[in-house]
Amino acid sequence: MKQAALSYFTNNELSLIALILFLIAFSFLIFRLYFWDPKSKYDKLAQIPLEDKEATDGRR
Amino acid sequence: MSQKIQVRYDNKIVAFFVLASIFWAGAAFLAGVLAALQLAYWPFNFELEWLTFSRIRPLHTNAAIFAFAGNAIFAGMYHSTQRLLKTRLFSDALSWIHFWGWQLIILSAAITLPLGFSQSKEYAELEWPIDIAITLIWVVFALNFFGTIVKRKEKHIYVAIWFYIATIVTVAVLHIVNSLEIPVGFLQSYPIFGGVQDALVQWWYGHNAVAFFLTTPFLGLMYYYIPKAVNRPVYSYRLSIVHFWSLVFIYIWAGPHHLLYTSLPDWAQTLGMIFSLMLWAPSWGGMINGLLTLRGAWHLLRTDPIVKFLVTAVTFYGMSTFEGPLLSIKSVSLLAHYSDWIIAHVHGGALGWNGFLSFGMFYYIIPKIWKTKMYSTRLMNYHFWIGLSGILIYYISMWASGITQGLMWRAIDDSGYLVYPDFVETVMQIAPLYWVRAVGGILYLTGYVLAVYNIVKTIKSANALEADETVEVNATVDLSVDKSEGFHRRLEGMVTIFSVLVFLSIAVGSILEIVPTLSIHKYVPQSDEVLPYTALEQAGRDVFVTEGCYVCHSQQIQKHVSDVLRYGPASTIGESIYDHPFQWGSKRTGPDLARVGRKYPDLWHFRHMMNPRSMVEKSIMPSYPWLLDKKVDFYSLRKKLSVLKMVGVPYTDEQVAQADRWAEAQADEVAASLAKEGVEGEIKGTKLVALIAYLQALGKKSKDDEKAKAHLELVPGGGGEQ
Ligand code: HEC
Repeated sequence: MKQAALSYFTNNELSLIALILFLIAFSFLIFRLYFWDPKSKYDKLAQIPLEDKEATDGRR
Repeated sequence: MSQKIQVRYDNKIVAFFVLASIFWAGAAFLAGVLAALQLAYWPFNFELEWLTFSRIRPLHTNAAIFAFAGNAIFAGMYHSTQRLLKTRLFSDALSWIHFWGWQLIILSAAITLPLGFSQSKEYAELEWPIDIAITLIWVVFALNFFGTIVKRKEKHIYVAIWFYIATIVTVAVLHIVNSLEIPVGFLQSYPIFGGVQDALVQWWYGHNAVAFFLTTPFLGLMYYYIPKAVNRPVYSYRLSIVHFWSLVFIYIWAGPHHLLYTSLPDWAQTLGMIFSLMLWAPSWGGMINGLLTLRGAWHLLRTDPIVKFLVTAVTFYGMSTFEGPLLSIKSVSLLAHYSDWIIAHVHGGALGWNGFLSFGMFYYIIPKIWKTKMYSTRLMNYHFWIGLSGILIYYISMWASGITQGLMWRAIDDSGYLVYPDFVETVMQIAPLYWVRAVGGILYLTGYVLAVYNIVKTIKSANALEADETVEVNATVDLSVDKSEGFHRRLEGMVTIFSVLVFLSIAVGSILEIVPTLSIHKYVPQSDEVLPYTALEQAGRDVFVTEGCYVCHSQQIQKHVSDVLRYGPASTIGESIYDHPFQWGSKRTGPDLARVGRKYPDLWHFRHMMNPRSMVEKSIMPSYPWLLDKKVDFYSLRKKLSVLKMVGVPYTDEQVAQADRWAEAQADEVAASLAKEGVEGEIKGTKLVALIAYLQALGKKSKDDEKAKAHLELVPGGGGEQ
């Protein structure tokens, strides 16, 4: 019975394809972020939460 | 310089969500402490039906997740989103519908769960009218949120907001798919999925409730409030991008790790395990990113209680996300599954990560929007240390308990027999630890009480809430896509595409895991098929679901030696195929029941349900005497069986049409057997009799079973097989 059900589940390949797609997308992401786009572009974005005055209440 | 305009941030809605979260936190913690005390000393349910462990535990989990954490994330999202997008929320009307709608949902949960209206699917117990309400309110929330993004005065969408988007998109998908059910009454329904399908869909949902309700939104909050609290930008913005996409893609696959060694096909189990292991990377990437934001400001950890709360929360996030993948390794799961170790794990996440992050955030937001300072820093510190001690005591006691249970359940002596064949022995061993755990819970509650006092004092001493906070922002922003920008920067400007990509990321795992199981029934060979429950057994099953027996009992014998030695042959896919909903359970405070049928005479169950200690002296199972006072509505069984037939249970038309008489005929049989043993009174129509019929059928529905076949023949004017 288990054999029968399992034999149907040949979608291991599908999962594998999904994983490979993910790895490709992931590599692309890493490449663009760390080797292509300059860091400065992203550093500026990190400042967004700190732009308003609320942050400057004496904290350091 | 571009022209400036004034916008008014809506602080009032934030304040309401903060206060609602704090209010419901009290209910969640109290229910938790009560449940903890009951496992240490069962009469703490005061022998009240609606305070019984199996009713209060769903209340506790739902209150903690949807009421405490839910209101907290709405508060934080609305507070931070306005500031990050430099605009007021899209619509005040939608904000308030969202707020009051959500509170009404919680209120209806707080009423219906103790009364026993439950679907028995963990964290999705609420019945169908409430499910619909949740969907509607979620849509209102989504409209309000995306509307705010559209009218934003900041081109870029900061990382926190992506996590919010992922939350909104994914929770909607999870909730809708897992709530596909057909009503059989005003507050009762059967899910369209059954058995293994229902199990997979439920744990796909269940695990991702943790992922997308208790993790992604809180990560978003982390990316906003930690930089704010320490006045430094996040350690690495680029790491946050990697963190986000890998987390969203990988998390959705992890559900099947809740079903290791069950009759779920092995490929799905393995998939769940592998992806859980992969989660280590993004989770720790995120944790490191959060913690390193403090670079150069570590001294704040000593002086600022808000930073203490936030940093400890992220540390617990790191611990929980280390432990989670560990637990999903099959051989570790072998020891930990169904045990208190899982409870330890969950509370590290809930109390440490979600709880402390919420409190840290409240301590940040409250003085800001009330334009004052916290009443007492010392009380905040006390809250921190008392709460932290509570978590550690809780965590360690449940670790010890879980590992003890796991080892005792599996201990096999030289001749191959179980060392502790009596389940109750394993319960007695850990009972003292249940007291210790309750102490941990009480400490956490104590910290909470201090927080409430401190917050009330703060608000009272403040002049008034600054309901609308006016700020100056640029009048226009150029939202057009600029090719010269980094690619992800560009993507962040394109919200629709961004959301679609999020959806696709979660859809891949969902579809690849769930769709194949949808046709699984076709592949279960005839020999493995079982007979459907009789009408009376189904009525008993409804009692089992209503009372919430699944919180303490599994119905799934795992495929490994000690389980088979203790409970009999491992459960098969076929055996639960007609179970709408499935009752595989997730925790064994009591023994597995998958093959309890005919293990004991009816009278044993009768006495055991009335008072378990009359049969098993040291039992901690609650008594269920009210089952003898309550009647089964036999007539409603026609409707119920017809709905079950609709979702694929092979009842004949006669069986459906005569369901009430069929059930009564079998109830006569059970009542007669009990009367013969000296049970007095008119018990035939009671819920207890139906429950006994159900328990006696568990594991005894094979097509060759004479007695099971005979019960099908009890239908007046037809029956048997079709
Ligand atoms: C607080 C946890 C808890 C809840 C809730 C609970 N039980 Fe139990 N149950 C136990 C424990 C512990 C045992 C083992 C000791 C004993 O036999 O009483 C047990 C034993 C049993 C047994 C005997 C199993 C065997 O193989 O000996 C049955 C049957 C049973 N429970 C049915 C139920 C039903 C039906 C409900 C819901 C109405 C329920 N239980 C709710 C904890 C619980």
